[in-house]
Amino acid sequence: MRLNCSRRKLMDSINIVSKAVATRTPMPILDGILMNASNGLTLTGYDMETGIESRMEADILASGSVVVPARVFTEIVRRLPDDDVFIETDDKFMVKVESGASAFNIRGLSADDYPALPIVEHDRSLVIEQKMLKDMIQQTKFAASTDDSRPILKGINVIFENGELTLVTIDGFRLAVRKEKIKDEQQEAMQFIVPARAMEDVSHVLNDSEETVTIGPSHNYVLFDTGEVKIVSRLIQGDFLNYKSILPSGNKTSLLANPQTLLSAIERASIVIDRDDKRFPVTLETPDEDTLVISSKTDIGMSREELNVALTGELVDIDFNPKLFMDALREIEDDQISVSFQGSVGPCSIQPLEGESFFYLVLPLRR
Amino acid sequence: MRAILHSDLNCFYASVEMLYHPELARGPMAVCGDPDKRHGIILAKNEQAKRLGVKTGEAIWEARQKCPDLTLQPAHGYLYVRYSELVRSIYEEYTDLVEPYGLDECWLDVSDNLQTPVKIAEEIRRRVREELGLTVSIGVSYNKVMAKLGSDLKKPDAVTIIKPQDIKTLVWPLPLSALFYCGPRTVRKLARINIRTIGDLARCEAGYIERMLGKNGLGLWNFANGVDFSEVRPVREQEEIKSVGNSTTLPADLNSRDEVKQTFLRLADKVASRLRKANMVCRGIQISVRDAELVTIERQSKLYMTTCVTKTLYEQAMQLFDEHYFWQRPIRSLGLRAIDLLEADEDRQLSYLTEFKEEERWREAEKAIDKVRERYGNEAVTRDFRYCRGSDNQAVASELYRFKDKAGELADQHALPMGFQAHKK
Repeated sequence: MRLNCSRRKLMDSINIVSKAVATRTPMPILDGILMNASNGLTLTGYDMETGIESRMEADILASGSVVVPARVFTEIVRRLPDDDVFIETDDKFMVKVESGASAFNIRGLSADDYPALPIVEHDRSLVIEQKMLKDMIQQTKFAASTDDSRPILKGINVIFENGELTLVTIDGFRLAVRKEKIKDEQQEAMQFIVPARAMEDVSHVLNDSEETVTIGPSHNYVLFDTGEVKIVSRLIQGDFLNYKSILPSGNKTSLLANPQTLLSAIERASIVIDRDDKRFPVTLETPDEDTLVISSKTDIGMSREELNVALTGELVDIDFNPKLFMDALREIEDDQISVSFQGSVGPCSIQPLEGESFFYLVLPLRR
Repeated sequence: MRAILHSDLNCFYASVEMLYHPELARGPMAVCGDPDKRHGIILAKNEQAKRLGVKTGEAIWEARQKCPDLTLQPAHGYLYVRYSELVRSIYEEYTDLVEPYGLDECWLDVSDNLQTPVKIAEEIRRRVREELGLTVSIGVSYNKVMAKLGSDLKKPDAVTIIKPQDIKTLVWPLPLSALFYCGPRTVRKLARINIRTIGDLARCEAGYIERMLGKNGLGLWNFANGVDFSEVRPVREQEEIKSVGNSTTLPADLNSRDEVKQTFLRLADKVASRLRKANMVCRGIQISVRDAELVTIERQSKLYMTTCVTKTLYEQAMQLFDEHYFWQRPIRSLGLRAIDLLEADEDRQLSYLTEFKEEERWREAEKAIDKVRERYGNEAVTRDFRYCRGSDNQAVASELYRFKDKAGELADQHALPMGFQAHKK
């Protein structure tokens, strides 16, 4: 293998694939990045769960492939003096990297030993705008579980039906749902569970443009393809919790609020709450129909703040873990939202005033 | 000068049994462990049996040799615990400095009580007899060691006073074995140098005894001279609990998984109820398995939610057991420990996952069971071991608990005997 390429493009490519490079693996070769030069240069990172393949332009003088140690190679490329990089390998897998007056020789591994990325044989696919998917992932991933004892909830449930794409995450204490209409000819419904970590990798690769990404699920894997980058992830098998079954029906209380104002008030109230101490809640209370009192009281001290709201229904007095509330409010761009309650032990739901592009549900603390 | 009482319930286990079976009082009787469980020894005896030479700790057959008419009565641990608590609540009316020593003995520091210590002692003696039908021997003195010694002097149902000036006449002539902390080994050791009474020891040179018995010797020498500054320390429940565990050595080695399940279920029941009593929940469990060759393994794991519920502890214990024990040898003992504890109200987050809801319901159910047990004794509600024999997938067995009998009948069975009123605080 022998090639010339741009350091900046190579660095971008490395940054993308290194998300999937395994750390602490029993297979040392997975610690590396696969470089394949034929028609352009392709880099691959694969930890047996998620695989990322990034393709870039390069001046290929001789085709071939090699596996380079990820950490060292990344450091080298990051610090090369010049934008023109020359890379060459010999038959002992020694990799020569030259740029400006600097030259490295590092020991690589045979590409033959690198496991092949699974081939995703999908019979249907979904084409959507990159920015849209990126936002949808960003606005749901925080509610995915991190608990190993429930592998299914560590995923994002991707549902496509009736021309609508829905992403759902649930960690047992809260729920996040995001919906968007899709302009896609294909009407056949599909649903699968992608590990939240892989979805995060996907959102890093996506950009804020109107370019599209193709999502193609098979039985065991899913492929996200932007043309330059392909991400393959194992799917989580099993049935996701049917989120519709836990949606509250009919609200006892609804109030209108500005999410940013509400967020800053809850953030202020949680200053006096020690992060590791789950004993202390933030209390939301409505003494009358125009006022929401946000307060907290702990060993450190107390805080109290009043917000103007418009309430209909029963007055509320309810305790929450502020983090669950803040995580959801941070992802809302609307100016006005509807916050609904189901009594003091029922869930609180956060929705837009119109439509159903997002739906967040947070369970309170027992008094 | 301090005023210390030491109160000792006379023939405690045997007396409690005689309350429930008055006919036993007619002849010699003894409370014994279950011979089938390899626990067949005498635990306590009544006065008649004592006069015939029956001793605590000897095997049943030895006792029978001395006393062929001996009536044996199985032990009812929960009754003794309950009576012990009832007696203690009487003590606590006179002082909050009550230090229990086993189920049947307590020290009381009544220095701050305005009544004279002797009057208090007489009143306690009378009340325990009249309100509970038990008798106590009380030693009244100025420190713990002398009070304890005093309570041994006159039995049953008596009060003995030891003043500092009485030591030479009352205490010194007594054999060494009457002294607290002076066990059979020390007695034998000192007998070799012809120290046989408490007075012999007191009159020795302190340094000599210290060289012979070490630091403890000096303590004993002080005791013999009536010197003891140790305080009456009430058990404080506020002490921070780090973990809650129970273990059991089995009457016969276990050879099957079903037996292990039964044992873990029983242990989980105990651990969970202790957790609830302490108002704690745990985030992890640890099991220990000791095999017939005394090789022990300990394994622990985290729980996906905090718990104080038997079912959750039990299932997690079995999972750990299945992952880590491979039946190289039969099992001699099993232990289950709740670790990584939190106060129960530190975890109040509600969830809509079924496991959490399930946990919540069990928590309520088991709290109710705790109440029943508190009132009618531990055996009022027992676990149904059929649960263990079911398939593993049958995770929730609605009949996990089986009410042994109607509560009404149990009330008669376990309530205080006729004629005695429970002491109300």
